Amino acid sequence: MLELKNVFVTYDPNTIFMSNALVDISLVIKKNESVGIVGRIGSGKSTLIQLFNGLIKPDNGIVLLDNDDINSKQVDIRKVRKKVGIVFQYPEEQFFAETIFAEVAFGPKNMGMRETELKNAVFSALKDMGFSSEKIAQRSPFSLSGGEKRRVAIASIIAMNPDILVLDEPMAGMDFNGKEKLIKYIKNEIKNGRTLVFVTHNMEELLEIADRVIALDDGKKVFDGRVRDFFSDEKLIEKIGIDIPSVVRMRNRLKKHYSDIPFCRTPIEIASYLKKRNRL
Amino acid sequence: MRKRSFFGQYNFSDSLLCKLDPRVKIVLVFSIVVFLFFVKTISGYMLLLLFSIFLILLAKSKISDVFRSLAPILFLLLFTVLFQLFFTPGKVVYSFFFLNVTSEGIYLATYIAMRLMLLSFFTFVLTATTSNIELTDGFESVISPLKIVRFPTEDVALMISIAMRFVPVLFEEATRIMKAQTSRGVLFNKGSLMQRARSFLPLLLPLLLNAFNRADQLAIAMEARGFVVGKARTKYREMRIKKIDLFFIFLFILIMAASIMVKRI
Repeated sequence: MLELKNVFVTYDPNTIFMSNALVDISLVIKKNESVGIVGRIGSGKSTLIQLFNGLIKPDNGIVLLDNDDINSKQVDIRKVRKKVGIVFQYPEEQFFAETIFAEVAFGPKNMGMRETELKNAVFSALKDMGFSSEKIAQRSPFSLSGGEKRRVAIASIIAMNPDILVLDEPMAGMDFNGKEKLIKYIKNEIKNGRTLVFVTHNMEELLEIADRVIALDDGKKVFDGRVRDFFSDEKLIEKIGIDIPSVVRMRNRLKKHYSDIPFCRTPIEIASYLKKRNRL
Repeated sequence: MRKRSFFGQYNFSDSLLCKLDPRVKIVLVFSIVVFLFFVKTISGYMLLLLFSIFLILLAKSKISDVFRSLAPILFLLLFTVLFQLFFTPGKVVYSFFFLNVTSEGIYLATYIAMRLMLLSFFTFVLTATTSNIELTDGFESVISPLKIVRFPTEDVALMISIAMRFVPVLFEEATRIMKAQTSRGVLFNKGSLMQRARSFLPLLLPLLLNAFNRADQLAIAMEARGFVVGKARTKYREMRIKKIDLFFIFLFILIMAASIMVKRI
């Protein structure tokens, strides 16, 4: 369980560049939740996730992981980083190893995994990301395509087996195929009890993956609740500059004629509702 | 992203010094820096120090920025001052265990410290009042006589301007990669010297690789906009010597002359 209590982050205090990145943020992320963080560029999303594993220390307030303050001296920060795995934007830019195996093994090795345990972790992470053949592990990570690189980079975090997986715009710049594989994996992980937090600009993704939405605007938390409640608050969505997905728009339009239409996440759900209704 | 101010970073203001011709500024600061080594008296340095303070005030720089510009040479400054202070033979004025402070030592230490500080102050004034583009344009123009011996002045100027342009970009990227690798369990500031050195490999390699990729992309982007290596280029900003430039040239010569003369008074 991850908890933020009244967290403030200020960049460059006492200079002309001073900006309040986060203002009085309190939130709790429980086990096995799937949380989407939304907001426009510069609203503090990236800052927020960097608080989760101690990359940024709050200027005020505390960050608790399983009831321990992660920024206190008694807590081993490496253990925190093992529990909270963050995949940053364009993670393929961090590659440096000669083989994919070494690249994926880098994180778990730093966390103290060795030999068979390490090997198993690496191969299962690669498999989760859709690389079924073990041969690929000996290739250079630089020989991969963009989407494959991204998946290897995500595998390098998954291999550490974090309790909470944090993804910063995981689908940005990925092709359809890669996205499908990633979404499939993410859904599977949620089913298996992993906690997921992801930042996104794509509302279709949010609709497909997240149960809960945290919306930031100008460093302040403006919404925290279920996805369906988020999309029914059109005023708020407009204010924070987010595009309503066509499925939601269609459903909201249909609601004028069919007042009992439930919240739908995909066009298929709408279609099956209509089918069922017409049959009646 | 966290913004940082670099040493001597250009800060735009409406000050007189920002309006000076960059060529004039470069030549003047360069000559006064060389000239510093010919001044033999502390009183001469005092005059130059006053002058540099005058320039800093004129540049509308913050005093804290000026002192921060001393940070890179702080170690050198302290080392030379202490060395001069304790190891100059002469009349002993103060004894501290086996260390003797001599009056000659105090004199030399002050002298060297002032010289180093002045070096840094004058270059600070230059970089704080001149943008990167102006600096390279000015530099290109100043070294243009070398064209006679077929020195590729334009290419060198372009290289310098690209290098300067990408310093903040690389810096930002380094921070980003550092955070990514930290999340993968690297501890950059823990462990033995060897371990620390090794932990920098996952930082430096991606940085280098990305820099090469970026260079490739930059080359393509430049060619797509009609850049041809070795072709003559026209300038967007024309540099012209104005009255105010002549005034500053005169002022610098006056100050330099005065600081040489001051010992004879």
